[in-house]
Amino acid sequence: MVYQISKLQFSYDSGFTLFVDEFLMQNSIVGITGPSGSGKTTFLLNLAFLYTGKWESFKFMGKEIDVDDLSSLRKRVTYVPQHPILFRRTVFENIAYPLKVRRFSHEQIRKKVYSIAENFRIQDLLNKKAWQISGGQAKRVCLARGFVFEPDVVLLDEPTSDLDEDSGKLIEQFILDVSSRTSIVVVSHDKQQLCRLCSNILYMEKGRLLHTL
Amino acid sequence: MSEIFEISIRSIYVNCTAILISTFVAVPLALIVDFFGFRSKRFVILLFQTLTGIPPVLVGLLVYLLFSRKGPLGNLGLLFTSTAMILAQILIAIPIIFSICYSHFSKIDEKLRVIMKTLGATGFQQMMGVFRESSVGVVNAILTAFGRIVGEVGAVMIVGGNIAGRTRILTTSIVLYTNMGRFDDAIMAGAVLLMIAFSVNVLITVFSDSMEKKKWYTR
Repeated sequence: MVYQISKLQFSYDSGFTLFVDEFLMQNSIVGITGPSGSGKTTFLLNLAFLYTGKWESFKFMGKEIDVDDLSSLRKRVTYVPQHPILFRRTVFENIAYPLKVRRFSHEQIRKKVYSIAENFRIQDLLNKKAWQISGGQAKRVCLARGFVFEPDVVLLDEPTSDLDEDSGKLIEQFILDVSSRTSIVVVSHDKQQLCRLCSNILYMEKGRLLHTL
Repeated sequence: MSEIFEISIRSIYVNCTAILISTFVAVPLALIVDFFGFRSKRFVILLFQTLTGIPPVLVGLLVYLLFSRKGPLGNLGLLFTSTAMILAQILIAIPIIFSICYSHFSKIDEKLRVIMKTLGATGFQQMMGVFRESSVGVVNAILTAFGRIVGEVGAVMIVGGNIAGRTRILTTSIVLYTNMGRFDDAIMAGAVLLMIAFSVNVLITVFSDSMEKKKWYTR
């Protein structure tokens, strides 16, 4: 079991509260949909250990998580936001960042970056600065950066928004290909896309994870 | 001419040493204050912002009192030395570098900090990430502080004493030559001072541009 969560609660100062009675996730692709502002991204940020709420039980990979050791858990899970956010560096350096912070060798970094760049068809962009590429290209760079270090779990927030049809199909195929070794949570408004990708689809409304579609 | 040369070398030594030490103190300090939340954080920021406007003569007076014979550090015998002048300039430069750097660090998008976290960066790596994203601001801070201390005369006059062959630098010599009516020498010293300021600006800008253009591991 990747995630085993019981009675997770997280509140913002604004008053919005996320409440998840139960969330179980096996090695698979799980989809989450629901109206804007229903708490989907907040839930992803909790799953990424970036926000810390209260819970009755929160197990990751079968072990109860330790709130004093969230930084090591964050090394195994990554969150890719809906809107691309890149460093003011080259595309290569952006994709290499998670490998560099994990102290991979220069040769390993080069190999992995070029390999993932080919998968996302961005190999021609590697020497470009982040501000020299289009929004759709930046989105693919962010996705490549999320997958390059082969984390246990990847949390994708609207992975194909801002992308043309071909790029969207490319990303979907990539998600399906890597799902055998990486668990993936996909948040999307596109229910047809979730049906194509996910074995399990959940619905969120007003901060609550309601039911399976 | 040889006098101007000797004074110029001392000016470069005093100003560059002061700016280097100030940078190595103020930039990490600004990063730490930006990264960590603590109770008196707002007070610390406000204090440094206030100190950016401190009159240099007041800094000179404080350093003078510190190193004067009856002062707490009088036994070190540093008054009227280049070290005292460097210290005075450091005290002027640190608040400037800190305040400008902090304002740039704190403007880094919160979402970028979240990205660094989720990509597995440690606290130190996140700080380095913020530093790198703000490198233009850091260069701006160093240049502003350098501009301030290179033309500074009040504090170095008080703590250095403008002693020929020991603590005379370009700014204090301009004051002296003007008072003596040696306007040609004063203009020459002023021109050299401008050249030094220009050269340091060019050097720092070229260095920061080359860092920006540096590419890694590309085939």
